[in-house]
Amino acid sequence: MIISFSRRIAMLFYFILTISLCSSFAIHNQPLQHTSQRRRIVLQNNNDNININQSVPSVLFSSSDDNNDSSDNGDNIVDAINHDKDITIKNTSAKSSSISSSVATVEDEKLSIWPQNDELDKRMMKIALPCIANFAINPLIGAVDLFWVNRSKCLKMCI
Amino acid sequence: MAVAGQAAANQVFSSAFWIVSVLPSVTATLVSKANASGDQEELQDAVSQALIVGFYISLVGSALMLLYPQKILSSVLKDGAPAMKFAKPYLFIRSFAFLPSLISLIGFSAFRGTLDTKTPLKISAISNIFNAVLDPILMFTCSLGVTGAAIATLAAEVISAASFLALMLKRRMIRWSKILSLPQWSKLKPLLQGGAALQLRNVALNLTFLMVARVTQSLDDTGVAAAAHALAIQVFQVGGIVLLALSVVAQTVVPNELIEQVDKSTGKLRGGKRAAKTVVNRLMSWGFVLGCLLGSLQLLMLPLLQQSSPLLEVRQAAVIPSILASVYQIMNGLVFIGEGVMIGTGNFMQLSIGTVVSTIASIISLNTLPKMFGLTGVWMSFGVFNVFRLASVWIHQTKNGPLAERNL
Repeated sequence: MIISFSRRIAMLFYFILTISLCSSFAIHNQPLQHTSQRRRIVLQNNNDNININQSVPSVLFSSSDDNNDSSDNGDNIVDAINHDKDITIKNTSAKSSSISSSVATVEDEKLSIWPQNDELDKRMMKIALPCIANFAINPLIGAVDLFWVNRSKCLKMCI
Repeated sequence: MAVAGQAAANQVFSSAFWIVSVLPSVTATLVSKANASGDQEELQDAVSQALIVGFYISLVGSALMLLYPQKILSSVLKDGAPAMKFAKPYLFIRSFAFLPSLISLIGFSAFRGTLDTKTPLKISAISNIFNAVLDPILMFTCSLGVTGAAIATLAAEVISAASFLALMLKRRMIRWSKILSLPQWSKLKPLLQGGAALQLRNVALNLTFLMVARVTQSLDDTGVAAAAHALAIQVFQVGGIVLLALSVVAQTVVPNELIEQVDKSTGKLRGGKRAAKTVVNRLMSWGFVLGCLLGSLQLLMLPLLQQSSPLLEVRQAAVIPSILASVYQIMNGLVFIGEGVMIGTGNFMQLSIGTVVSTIASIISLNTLPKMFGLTGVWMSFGVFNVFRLASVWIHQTKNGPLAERNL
């Protein structure tokens, strides 16, 4: 017996407290996205003045993995907007003011807070998996190093 | 003795490197912002400033290790320790790896900032395989022993750094003119401010781990508690790598997502605070799900991991701490990602203050709980530490962070 019954009860209480704290602290409902709700994005492009009511998550993220080399030729330009003002954004570049659509309505996809294996999850996993592999390499190579150093010790002892 | 010497030298090198470990976190965030806004100049500035700061720090670090190896090694080895004669030549060679290691770290963070994580993986894989192949050749064929292992590691570091530099130049992430020019305060400021704040967090984290080590060592004189603690740490590390990687993802994805962009081809608006909030919520749920999965996996692997110790009393003493280590993964998933979000949004000081408060709480726990529960008490203190960190994440995400509902 490692610990007494009373301490086991205390431990059990501690486990339950830990899990309930986790779920109540950081898993909170997202009020932004409702499955039945349609969101409208209104881009009122009027003399370089763009009025934005809502924004949608960029499931693509702007990776420069393959785009850097062609960033100067204007093929894949994504204009950045000054985000100091949350709702009304002014003075965008000449390039962004030439957006053809004056009013765009977007029906949002259902975006749950839970993993859905959707485009967002796939993109995040695409970034995360190489990171995990990268973090895992170092301990592995450390173990290989240790193996060879240990082996040198064994060889010396044999000799 | 060779292993002890190598371990001692590696420990000294890692500890010295710990001082600059904040550079990549800040760099990745700055690069991510610049990349999302399509500002190539800003991106180049962020990487170049990090390289310049890293260069000066590595000069000092290498010089100290080359000039005072005995003094530095005496921090981990007793005077006259037999391992010293193996540790000194190993550290001598490794000290030359300070700059290449730093370049690799900054390179990795720069690529990560552009959301390209595959290129660093390829570089890391090639250089590490090179290290593994070169090890036996230098150690046995060339009869260099432990020194050969150090040379192989140095060669791998140089290859990695050269590859990162070449690729960053090719992709115009850096320019020689920016690296060789004198740094400007206005460009250095965000890096140094963020770095200083994160350094405070590093100090707090290390203080906690130091206290945990001290309390564990003082639990008994037989070494059973220390061995059981090491076993529980081993269990903890199974899932730690995955969750740490997700934290790094949060650090780079969030600043990228915060930038509002208009896609020229579709005319749609992308990114912004609300979009970032959606990504953060999804990441947090990933943290929770993965934490639960990894915790369960660790519990299942427990009998297997227990086999690593031949001593029954060590295995018994490690049971409850190992179970705790598994349960804590639920919390760690949320804490690691939540702290990654804090770095991603640039709230370095809040993160550091949260860690300091958590450290204070854990030190108080370490002074009380181990007296009641022994080694289990030490791991319960770890729990207190993580609960406070989680509370800090919760405050950031719901009260005062830029992505809290009231601030959207």
